[in-house]
Amino acid sequence: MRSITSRIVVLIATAAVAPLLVYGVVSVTSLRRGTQQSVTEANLAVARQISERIAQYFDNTRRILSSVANQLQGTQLQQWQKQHILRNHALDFPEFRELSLFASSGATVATSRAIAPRLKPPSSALDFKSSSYIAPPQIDQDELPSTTMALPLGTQAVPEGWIVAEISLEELWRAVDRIRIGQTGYALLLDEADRLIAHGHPDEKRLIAAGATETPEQGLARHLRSLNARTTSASLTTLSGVDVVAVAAAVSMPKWTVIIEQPKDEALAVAHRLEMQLTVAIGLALLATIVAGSWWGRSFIRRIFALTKVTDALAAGQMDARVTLTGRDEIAQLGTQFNAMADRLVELQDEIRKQERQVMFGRIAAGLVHDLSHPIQTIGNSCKLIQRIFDDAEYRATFRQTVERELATVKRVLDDLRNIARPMPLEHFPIDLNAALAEAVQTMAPHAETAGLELRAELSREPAYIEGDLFAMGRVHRNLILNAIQATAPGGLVAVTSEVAGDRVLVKIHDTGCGIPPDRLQAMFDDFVTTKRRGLGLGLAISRKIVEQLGGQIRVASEVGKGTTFVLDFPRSAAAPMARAAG
Amino acid sequence: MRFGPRFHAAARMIPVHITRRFVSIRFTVTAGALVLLLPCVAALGACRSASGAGDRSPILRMGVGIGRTVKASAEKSLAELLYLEPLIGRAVDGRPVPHLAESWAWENDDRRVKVRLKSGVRLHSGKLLTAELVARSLNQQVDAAREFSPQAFDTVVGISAHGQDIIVDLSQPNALLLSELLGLRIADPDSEDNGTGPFRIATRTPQTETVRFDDYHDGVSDLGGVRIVTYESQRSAWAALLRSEVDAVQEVSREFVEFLEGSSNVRTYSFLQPFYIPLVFNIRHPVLKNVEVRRALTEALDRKTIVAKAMRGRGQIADGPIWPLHWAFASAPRRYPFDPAHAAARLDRAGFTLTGAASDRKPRTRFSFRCLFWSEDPQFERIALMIQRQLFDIGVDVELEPATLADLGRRLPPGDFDAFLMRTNASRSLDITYRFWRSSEKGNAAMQGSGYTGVDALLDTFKQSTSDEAVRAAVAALSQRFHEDAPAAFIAWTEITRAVSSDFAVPDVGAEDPLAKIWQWRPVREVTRR
Repeated sequence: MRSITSRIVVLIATAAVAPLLVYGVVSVTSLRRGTQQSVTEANLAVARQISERIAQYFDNTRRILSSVANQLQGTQLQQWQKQHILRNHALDFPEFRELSLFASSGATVATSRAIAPRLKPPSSALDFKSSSYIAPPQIDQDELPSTTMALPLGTQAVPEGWIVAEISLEELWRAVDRIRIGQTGYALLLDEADRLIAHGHPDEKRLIAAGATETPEQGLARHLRSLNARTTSASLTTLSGVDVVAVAAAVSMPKWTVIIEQPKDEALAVAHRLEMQLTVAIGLALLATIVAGSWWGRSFIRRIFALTKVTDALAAGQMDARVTLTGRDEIAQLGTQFNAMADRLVELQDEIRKQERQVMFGRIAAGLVHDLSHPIQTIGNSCKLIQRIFDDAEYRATFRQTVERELATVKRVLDDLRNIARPMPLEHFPIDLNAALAEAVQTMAPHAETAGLELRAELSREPAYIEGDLFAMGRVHRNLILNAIQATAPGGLVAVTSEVAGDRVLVKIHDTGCGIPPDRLQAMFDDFVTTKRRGLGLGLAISRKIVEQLGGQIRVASEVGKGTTFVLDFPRSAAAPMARAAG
Repeated sequence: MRFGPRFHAAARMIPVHITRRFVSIRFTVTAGALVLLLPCVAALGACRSASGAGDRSPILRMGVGIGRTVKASAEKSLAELLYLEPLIGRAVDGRPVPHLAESWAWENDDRRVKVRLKSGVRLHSGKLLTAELVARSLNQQVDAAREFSPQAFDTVVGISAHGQDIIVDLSQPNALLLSELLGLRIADPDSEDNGTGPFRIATRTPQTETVRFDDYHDGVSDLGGVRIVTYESQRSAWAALLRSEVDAVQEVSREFVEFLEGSSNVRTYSFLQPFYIPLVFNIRHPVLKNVEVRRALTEALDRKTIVAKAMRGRGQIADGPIWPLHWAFASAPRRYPFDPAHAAARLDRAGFTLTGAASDRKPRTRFSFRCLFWSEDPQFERIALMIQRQLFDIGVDVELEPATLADLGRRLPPGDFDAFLMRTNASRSLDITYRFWRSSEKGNAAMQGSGYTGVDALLDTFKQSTSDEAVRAAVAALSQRFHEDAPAAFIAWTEITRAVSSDFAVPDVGAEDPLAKIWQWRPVREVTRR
């Protein structure tokens, strides 16, 4: 039954749980992948927008510088007017830390500074064909990043001069600081040399101060350049050990890189929540499936268990046990048929018992007729004869003997019947089994002689004492010897032997008779079982009862056509019989 | 690490004795090496004691971003805050508060002040601080101050000790006396490093380091000590803070404050300083001596824009040199509103009209003057440029001239300027304001030489005030006179920001400077040094 339960569990798991689990795993995986992809795409859009704005910012700055250059060039402005223009621009546009105009010789023409300009025109080694030159960012006196932009003046191959501006990147820094992706996502800015110039995470600005190199973000910027692409994305672990979804976008001018980082905890929070919900839903579904399957399986198996239980009861002889199964399915039909089969079995059993009783009565009646008819007939004949020769004193004596003997026979038959019905009262005294055997052999010798066979006694030299009833043992011996004589054809041998084996005394009555078929050996010692054509068949049954009452065992071994051996096995008694002890 | 005079005398003597008694060069070299080694061994011992006195209390590393010119004085001032204390402290409103003094009382028609010394105060050497020691220390410092400036402590005729009291006798009542005494920090007259502060000097080389003074009279600090780490610039100092090389920075540049404010690793503490930025006019200048001109110039300045743009909003408009949080400062006088048209009209009425023709170097103007500005702080260039433009708009040409602190110190006292722009200490108790604005015969000649004497009488009245009402009246009159005379265009009061690592908890000090209570800072977790 356990295997049926296991099979049903496997069936439910295979049919319902496994597909549900597979569905869950596939759903969670695609959800996670899909969310990361959509987060990456959204962040990439932001990064692209920022990179475009930075490029636009520098383009606007270049335009302003160009406009200032146009105001200063080719006009008849006085020196102080040029200076005022530059200073006004520097004051009106806080991103201009300094604006200076240089002649082609490098001499300062005008500056927005109240002191000597910090700026210098670009080196002549630069490519003058460029419309502008942007220097790498630096940290200015106000501790903020700044960069320098230079515009060549004039349209000649060799510039007529330069307008150079120190541009504060403070606004850019602030703009980067203001960028928030979700709650905790932030932006970073790296220059063309992959130096960190802005970091939107308040606690990570130290990386700028520390001039950090070999950060994961710098690796990402290098990777972007190696791809020669506008954008890229990756999963990174920051120097602080936070797992982030990172995207990078290249700025067209200057060649900077914008990176957006969003902690995975937040970026994939929706996916995680959905995963959790999905997991809970799948878990509940699994639980429901298991509960329903278990309930269904239990109701299914319960009926099988009920059937099994009734079968066991029937096997144990509880013939009135019946199964009650509800439903209209095959199992219910099986239950109905099983009950019908049990009913039929009871009927058959009753019939068999009836037939057995009839057979038994027939055998008992036949046995009684056989065992009693001869003495009754003998007594009847003797009675008829005594009427005629009553005066013959010798015959009267014979008559008395005959009647007494036949009555004894009748009595013995009746005693046998009584002994079968209830235990015989036996005495337990030490007896000499050899002496009992010798007496029995002597008693049965005439029968053997009559039957034309040899009756031999081979008794042990050691004393074979047992606790027993001398009369009862004599009967057992005679019964077994008589059976052997009756089963042995003339010229055969009946050997009676005894031996002492340790604390046991064995008696064997062996004949060379026809033997007993094996299928009848088991019932040899049952009541009313005999191989003879007549008689009650109580001899062996009474013999076994006596032997077992005396603490011994009786066994039989037989081979058809070769003979039979009965073995009596008794515990040896240490005490000698009373008469011998006294004698 | 400093050694006492006996040690130095002995050290000086050793080579002499050796030269006299032993001719052997080898012995001299050996002895010389011993002389060199002795300070090293002593310094090593001091370093050991400086490393935390055997407990786990961390040494707080204070970063100070200062230029080369002011390095020594800034480091000294900060160190004095740690190991020296004054008799009398000062609240944020300028009121004197007990410190080493337990109490004080005015006697003899306010010509004597009896200061009761707090009992049980010990010097770092373990010696008990007595009134006699304090009186000696005060007399020593007053004498030193008079050597530098004869006007210093001009009313003090004697300082003596009587029991647990210090008696200061005056020639006349002096409302500024307590503030002046405040500037005097008490040290053992025989050893200037032996103070009573919460920390004691462990070494001065290569930089000043103090360790906790376990017998400090006000309690024991949770800090093991304070190490002062100086940097060439504020930028270097905050970069060191961000790199966790220091635990606090004395001052963070106003531009960077907002970027630090979002950090969870660093906390910033901003507060208004008793420092103001004036554009001081030289009254001897032929044009600037005209009060209408000075008023017009003040009126032409858009101070709100200057504070917002040039100072990044880290300050508040000033209407005079009197600390606006001072207890006697009732309210600001009528402010000159930003009104360039009115200013131009005022100049017109004063006879300063646009004259002459523009040249290649100069525009057509009403008049010109040169303005010195402190060039070592980039903020002042921006303020100067804004002032230049705003005054240009009313036809006044300002020629800007950068000047270092040394230049200013050299040129201001003799009045070698038309105007100057720099940061000025007002102090919370007005004693420095008195010395700055009182003309040179009684004020401090080293302060400024603008030639302005308009408030001299009022300042003296203020100084001699003996009641709160009199002080309030004097302050109100002073404010009014500064407004009317406009000896300077008062631009703004400055805000300062300190930054402290979140590894340390700073007690709530309200509007006070958290550095004043540095000994009450405590580590919030076990500090591990990277």
